[in-house]
Amino acid sequence: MSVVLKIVKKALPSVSAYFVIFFVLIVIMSFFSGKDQEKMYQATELTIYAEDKEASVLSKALLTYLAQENEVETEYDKELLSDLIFAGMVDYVVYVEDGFEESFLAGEKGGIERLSTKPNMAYVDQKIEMFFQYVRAELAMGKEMEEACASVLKNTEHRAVTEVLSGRDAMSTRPGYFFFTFLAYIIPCILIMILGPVMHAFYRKDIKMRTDCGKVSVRKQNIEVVKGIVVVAILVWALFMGLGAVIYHRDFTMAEYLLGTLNSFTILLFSVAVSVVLGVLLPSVDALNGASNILGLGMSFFSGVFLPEHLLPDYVNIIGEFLPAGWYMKNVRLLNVENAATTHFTEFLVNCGIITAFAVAVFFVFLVVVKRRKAA
Amino acid sequence: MNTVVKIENLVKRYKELVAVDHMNLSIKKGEIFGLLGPNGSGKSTIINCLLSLTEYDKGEITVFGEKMRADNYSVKGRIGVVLQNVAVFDELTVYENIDYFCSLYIKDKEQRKTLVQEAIAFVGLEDFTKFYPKKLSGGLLRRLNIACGIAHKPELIIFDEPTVAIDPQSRNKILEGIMELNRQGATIIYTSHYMEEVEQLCSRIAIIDKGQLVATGTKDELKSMIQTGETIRVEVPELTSEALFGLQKLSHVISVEYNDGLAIIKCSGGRHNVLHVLEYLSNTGTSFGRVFAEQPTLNDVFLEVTGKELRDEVQ
Repeated sequence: MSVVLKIVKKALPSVSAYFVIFFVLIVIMSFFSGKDQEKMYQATELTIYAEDKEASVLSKALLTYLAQENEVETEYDKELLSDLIFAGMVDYVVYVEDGFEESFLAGEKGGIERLSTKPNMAYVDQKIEMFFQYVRAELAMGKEMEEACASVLKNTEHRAVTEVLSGRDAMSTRPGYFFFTFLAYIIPCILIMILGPVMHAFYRKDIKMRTDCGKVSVRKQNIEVVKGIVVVAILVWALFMGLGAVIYHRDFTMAEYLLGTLNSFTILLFSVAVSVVLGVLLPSVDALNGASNILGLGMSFFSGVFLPEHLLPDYVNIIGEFLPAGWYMKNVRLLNVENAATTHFTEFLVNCGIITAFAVAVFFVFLVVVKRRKAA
Repeated sequence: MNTVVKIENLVKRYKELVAVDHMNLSIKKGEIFGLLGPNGSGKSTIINCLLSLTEYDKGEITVFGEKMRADNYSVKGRIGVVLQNVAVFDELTVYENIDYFCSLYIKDKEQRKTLVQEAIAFVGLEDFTKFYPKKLSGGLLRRLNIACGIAHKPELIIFDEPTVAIDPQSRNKILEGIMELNRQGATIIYTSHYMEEVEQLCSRIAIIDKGQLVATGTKDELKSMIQTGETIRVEVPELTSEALFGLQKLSHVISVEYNDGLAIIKCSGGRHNVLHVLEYLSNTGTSFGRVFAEQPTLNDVFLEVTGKELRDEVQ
């Protein structure tokens, strides 16, 4: 077992970077998530300065239409507006002159002046052109101007409803949420990098030949290696769980934290299994480092570790169903539901069972690889 | 002398290939026994079978009077192995490596400490005990490899091509070390395709080709098995056909070849062969330059018994 620990000790410097990344990530995510997300959404409104000299049915309808999604100012200090235009601080100005409606009915574009000192002009221009098209369409149906404008205003008054899902039903604002989330990334990476070299060393063909010649039985030697691996894996897990308990104990109830701990234990089992397989299969320690990055980042991306599930394309979420980290993340999301410990307990355990099944399957692969090597 | 290793009728197949073909060997206590043969002749396979690292199809192997099996740990404890490839942990220092491999045989820490120190001193790695293998040169790595195999003071030590790809100085150091281990009482099995090494080191030699035992005996016994007793090379600028014919007629001369001004005369075991050849050349008025006389080598033995050069096979 001491040899296992010595090999792990040699791998620790390269792993320390992962610890740093992990804690920087959760600190950053915790900081941003601490703000009230409902306040983070605000629909953009432009300030439109308007003057309607004509005051026709069409011009009034146009200003009403613009006011549906923007702030339309009709009473303002004209000198101030001149200053604002000069300073380039005006979103949009619309000036309707006499003969606007007449010009419109004649199919011309006269009677209206528009101005903007910001890049928003194209957007408001487009909105105004759309309004004209709607009115023309209504008029083409044989309606009078008043009726046509009323119809257009009625049809366009509906705005898209934007609702921010609040609190624990969506993305949690609790920093502890990110702690458990990023464990799905950090535990496989770290274990591959520290346990992979152990397996790689002990299953190197020439070393295996030499150890097989020893007086100590192969079984006893294997037990020593297994003991070392178990101790290291438990130490890594206990380190994270201990830190999590110290830093985030206020974010969770005891039951929630215990469930999170159980969940992380299953991902630990899977990570150990993957580490031993890769350690035996890959040709070098450098290859193991590469594999830890590919597997850690890849699995985390497809499982929604880095981005919330609802922001990911459907196909990514489907791929996540075939990854243990995907099931792990389901459980982490369950932890954000109020009273998850009681209401979703069975579902939580089933998910844990699925992750454990992944671990067993990978470990079975390890046994097959070792058996085949022995036969060769 | 007691028999340490006895291999009877050993057969090992890899699918269609017969790697070891009805091999019989007997190695006595205190010998340095050489297994000589070209690459792929089956030397390492014999060693792997002997150590129960691989299963074999037929035959029986007895070591120290006990049947060798993978779980015969009492016998394994009396064997030391120095494999062809340097088999050490890159993550452990020189001391830690030797200590770990010694721990596979010796449980007692204090005893092991002494043995590790002795092994380090034996291979001359005292100044490198805290070095990691990657910091060692090829020669030092080979010495570490040997130290890992002998630290527990085994009675039988198997060296599988321990001098491949190292400099002559390290090679000599290793060969001297092996002879010292033998003097200290260890029985040695030494496999190599370097016939000079085997000839210099081994008290008995088995020549192996294509998995078969071609010949076995001391180097003198092996050389006496072949017709060639002495090879004389004479630089002769011009050699007439009459003179060539006359050389062939000399007593003890087996064959004469003449190419590019060099006459190669192979003689059987008679005495004064060089004198007779030179007398004949003088009498026939044939001028000659430098003269070389060589006793038969293991290459000659290999050539005569297999019909091919051992050197060629190696290359």
